[in-house]
Amino acid sequence: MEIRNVSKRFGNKQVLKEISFSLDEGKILGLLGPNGAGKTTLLKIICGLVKPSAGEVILERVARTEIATIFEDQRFLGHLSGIKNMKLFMSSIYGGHSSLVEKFQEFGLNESQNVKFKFYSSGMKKRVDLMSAFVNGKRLYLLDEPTNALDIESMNAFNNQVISLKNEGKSFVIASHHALEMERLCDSFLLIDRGAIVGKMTREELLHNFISLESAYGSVIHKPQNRKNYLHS
Amino acid sequence: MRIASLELTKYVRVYVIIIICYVLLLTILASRIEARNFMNYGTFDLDTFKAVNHSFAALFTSAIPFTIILNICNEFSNGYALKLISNGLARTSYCSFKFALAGALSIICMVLYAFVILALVSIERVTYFDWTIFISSLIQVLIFSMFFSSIAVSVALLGRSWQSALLFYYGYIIIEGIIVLRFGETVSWVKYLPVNLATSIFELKATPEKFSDYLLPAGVIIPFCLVIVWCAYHFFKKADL
Repeated sequence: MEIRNVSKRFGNKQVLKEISFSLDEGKILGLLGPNGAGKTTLLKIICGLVKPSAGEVILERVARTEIATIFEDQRFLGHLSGIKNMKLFMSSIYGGHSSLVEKFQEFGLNESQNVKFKFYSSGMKKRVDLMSAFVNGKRLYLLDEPTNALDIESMNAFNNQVISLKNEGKSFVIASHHALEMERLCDSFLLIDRGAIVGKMTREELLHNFISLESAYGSVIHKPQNRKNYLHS
Repeated sequence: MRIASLELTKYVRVYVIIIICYVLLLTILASRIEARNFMNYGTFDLDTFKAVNHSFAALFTSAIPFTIILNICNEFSNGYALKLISNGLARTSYCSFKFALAGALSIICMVLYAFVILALVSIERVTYFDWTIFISSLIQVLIFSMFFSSIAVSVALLGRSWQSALLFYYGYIIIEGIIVLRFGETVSWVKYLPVNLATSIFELKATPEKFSDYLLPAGVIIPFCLVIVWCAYHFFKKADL
């Protein structure tokens, strides 16, 4: 996947400014930045929900149907049960569905699969979101705050799932504020502030220059004078 | 069929049933006050036909489009539609799903119409029953219901918020209604305004008799519908969601 000079403007507001980066197969890219930096818009542009004002998204050997996404503002239908929602989701996108009962067990939702989605807790809703992303083999995963509201056990299961899919050659772009988790999962990092890339670094560079991702974030986001040093990766 | 059943599963909700029943009952009540013999004296005649058609006109011009708009806009406001599209469902497929829903609702409306008429015929004393009117009304229910439902789907896809979609849909119907009320008697082209034309044909106010009488309504209604549907497809494909 390659992003070339992507910019986005909503009315008078410039949300993204000439964003460029690429992502190889089997790699995980972490997007970090303060709230409103443009991370979600960038993910929405990649999956085609939002059209860029300039620039292009090049997806080599990845069809639109091979992209899985999770966004905070996208929910299933509250008046239907979890399993009904998943069946409808699968049937709408893939034209059918395999047995989902095992999947609900795998995600710890077997007891509440027939409960209406609106009665699920935030963590359970997030688990259904993750299930919808992982249920069918995809090649590119765009995950916006995928572990918000998850308990420790679910978070570990998520991390294991991501690593196992990565080893199968799947690629990920993850936007999250969980620095520790990002540090553990991602191969490279993109720091965004006010719609522009202010830092690019691989995990090796991060470990060489900083004690943690959190300190890198503080150093690059809060001290603009440092930014020029981390834009070359 | 599969798509239509998927969409119907999402569409059928308590508030949808309540709205449809409410509009039907309200219209039946109004019809009873207006035409005293409708379901009142146990007689089925031409006025009963007109009253039933009037109720069904309210169903497919108001109740069904209202619920379609709420249903689609709800999918956008809670992000469900975006979830489908961002996970690989083509935007054009999403549009087609909604038009399939419109088609399914039109067929249900037609079946319901046939059921109501035949039920009335079987329980009431029949003084007038014209099979030609029945068959043509049956076809018209399907066509006009498709027409209004497709416009509702298009408006919902264009607006994506129930406030703007309802304002646009009912705003247009109200404006057309005002024009017809004000100029209907004096200006000849007013009777060819699409919504007024469709309802007046169905309510047996303007009955086409020969084949050529159908051409002008078709020439107005079909292009009007196609333009709106095309605009919805076109703008939805390019919109930021």
